[in-house]
Amino acid sequence: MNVAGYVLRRTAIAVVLLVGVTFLTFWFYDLTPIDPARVIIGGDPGRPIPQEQRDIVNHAIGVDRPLTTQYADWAKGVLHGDLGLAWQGLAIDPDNGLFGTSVSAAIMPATWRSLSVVGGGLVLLLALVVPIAALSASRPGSWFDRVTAGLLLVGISTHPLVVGLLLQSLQRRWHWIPWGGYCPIRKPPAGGQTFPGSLEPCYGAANWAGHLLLPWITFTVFFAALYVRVLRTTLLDVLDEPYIATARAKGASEPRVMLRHALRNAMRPILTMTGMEAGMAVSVLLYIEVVFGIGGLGRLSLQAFSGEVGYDRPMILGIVLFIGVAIIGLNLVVDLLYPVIDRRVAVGQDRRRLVVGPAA
Amino acid sequence: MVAAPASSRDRSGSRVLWTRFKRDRLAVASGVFLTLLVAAIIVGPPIATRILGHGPNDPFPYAVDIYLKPVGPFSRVPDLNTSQSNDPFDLGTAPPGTPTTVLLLGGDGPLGRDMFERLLIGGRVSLEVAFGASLLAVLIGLLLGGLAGYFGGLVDAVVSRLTDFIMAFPLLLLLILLGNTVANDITFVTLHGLLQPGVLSLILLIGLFAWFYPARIVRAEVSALKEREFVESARMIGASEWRILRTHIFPHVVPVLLAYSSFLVASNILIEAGLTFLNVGVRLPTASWGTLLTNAWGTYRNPQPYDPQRMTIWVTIFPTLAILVTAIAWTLFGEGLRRALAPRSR
Repeated sequence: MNVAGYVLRRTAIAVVLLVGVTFLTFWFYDLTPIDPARVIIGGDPGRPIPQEQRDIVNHAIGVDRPLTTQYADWAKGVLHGDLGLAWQGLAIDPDNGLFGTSVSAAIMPATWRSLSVVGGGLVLLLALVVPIAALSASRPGSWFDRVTAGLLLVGISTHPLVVGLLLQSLQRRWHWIPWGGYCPIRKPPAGGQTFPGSLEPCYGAANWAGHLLLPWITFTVFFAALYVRVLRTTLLDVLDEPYIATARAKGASEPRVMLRHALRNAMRPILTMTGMEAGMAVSVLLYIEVVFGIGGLGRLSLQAFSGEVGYDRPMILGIVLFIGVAIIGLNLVVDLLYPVIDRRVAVGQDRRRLVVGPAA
Repeated sequence: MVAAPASSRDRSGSRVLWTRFKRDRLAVASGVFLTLLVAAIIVGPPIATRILGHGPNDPFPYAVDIYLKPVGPFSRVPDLNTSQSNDPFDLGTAPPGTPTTVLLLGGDGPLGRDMFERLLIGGRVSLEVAFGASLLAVLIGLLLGGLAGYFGGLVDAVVSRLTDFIMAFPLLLLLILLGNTVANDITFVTLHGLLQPGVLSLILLIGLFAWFYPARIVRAEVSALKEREFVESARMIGASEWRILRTHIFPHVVPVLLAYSSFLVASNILIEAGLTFLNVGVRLPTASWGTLLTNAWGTYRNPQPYDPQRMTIWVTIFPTLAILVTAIAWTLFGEGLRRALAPRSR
């Protein structure tokens, strides 16, 4: 199968999946006893909203029409690149239409923050996982292998929430790095975010990395065990291959065998894991952002989904669509990268057959 | 192996498994620990209540100081559930001659409830949730994965797309939405007191969130097994599809799935704690290890950073350790099972 055709087919499947996911969200929202007028008007839940006010609001946001019509309207907007206006803080002018924050304007900055957390976390994770797995696999059963396996087991058995909160408690005692929050790399326009004890807005690469250090560590602590385990198992299998014996027979040093021959061929399951654990990463991200006060996608979605500022349907749909696109896109990229990393695999080969699962 | 008919061959199969499992001392120790734990949380709470003379939900206002900081482990406190003082801000001291009671692991927070008893009853809630959700996930996974792997073709395509669908969905967010809205309706379904309030909704929520990975494992196993000679020969002598699935394929899938369920229980214990932090957990005053943790840390809407004047470190340490040790035990147990099943794996 050629690459273009494969991408086209996968994209078609992705569109069907996304339509399903968003429609299901629409439907679930409709099933829950949430009152859209209440989300927009707010106020004391005990005091009923006057019927004429309710009618105006429901008509303006379109919830008085059938569910399928509402969905078609929303989907039409998405095709035009418009995710709609958030219900929270929506102003309704019966003559001139609606005014409010657009969902995409809220999602974009949050995305950069979340990407900072996940991207840096992944870099730290790989920087830690590859050497540990290589050392463990070169001497299976050694004290290093056992001690790291034990430590990593503790890491994955502790909730990221607890890890984050513990790191923060340590920080409160020793103050050696910032507790969290987010500092953009580029200088924000006037009136940017300031931190307690400073009047200057916080920005710059060093501040950015410093404030994200604890979130990155939390991310790494949770995922390290999974990655080390998979990479170590694969490395042990690869080291038994004849071509490794050939390399050794040629007189290649052990580090060279590991770095040039074994690691390269053992990276494929790591790539698969990255695709498959993306959903898990979203959950972990949510906890990390809550603990460290980072206004990223996780925090944004928690606000919309938990009713913290009202169950905001356009925001919920925007986030569901966005995360769906991100996860499906990541998995597509992973599948396209296989042949680049491993020449034995052709594009479009079912990767589930290649996975080293927990049962394998 | 449970579902297989008892034949001498089969018995020797499980004996081989046991011999291999026995070699892994850590896994055996985990198994012993988990057995003791399950026994303790089933029979423990009523016995502890009887011996100590107070229940897990009884508050002790005299077990906290003026900053509402609870007492530490092995403290004797006045056995009074209400304040005896007229001043709402100062309890003073208990009237002389009040009988005392002992809080083995100290108080659990500002209300001064017994941490030890809440850990016991909370362990019951946490394990009920983790067990139930894992069982639900594994059953759905067995059914869907089995169908997909065995019949292939259209069924496989549908199930595989469904799996992709679930994977592309930010399910934790959906859990929060449902947990905050509709889960209230089933909070008080307890199946005649078998489960604590709120447990069933958590089981359903987490179970529906976790089935796709077991489905994937079962599908891979079954589609490999159905090509094997013994299935061919069973088909040749005219065995029905259902009989082949039941007596020739499932007995091979079940042990693999058991090892995986053990990991699943460990991760579900963590998920329960996380959901409680997000306000989707069991309702107070029911204790779970998650709610005990929120005593120390607060919830996401009302986080309480650690403050030594207001909270003892014990309130964090006991639930954290309970979750940590139990999750590790389940993981090691599963690891032992997995090694026993595939002795060549390292």
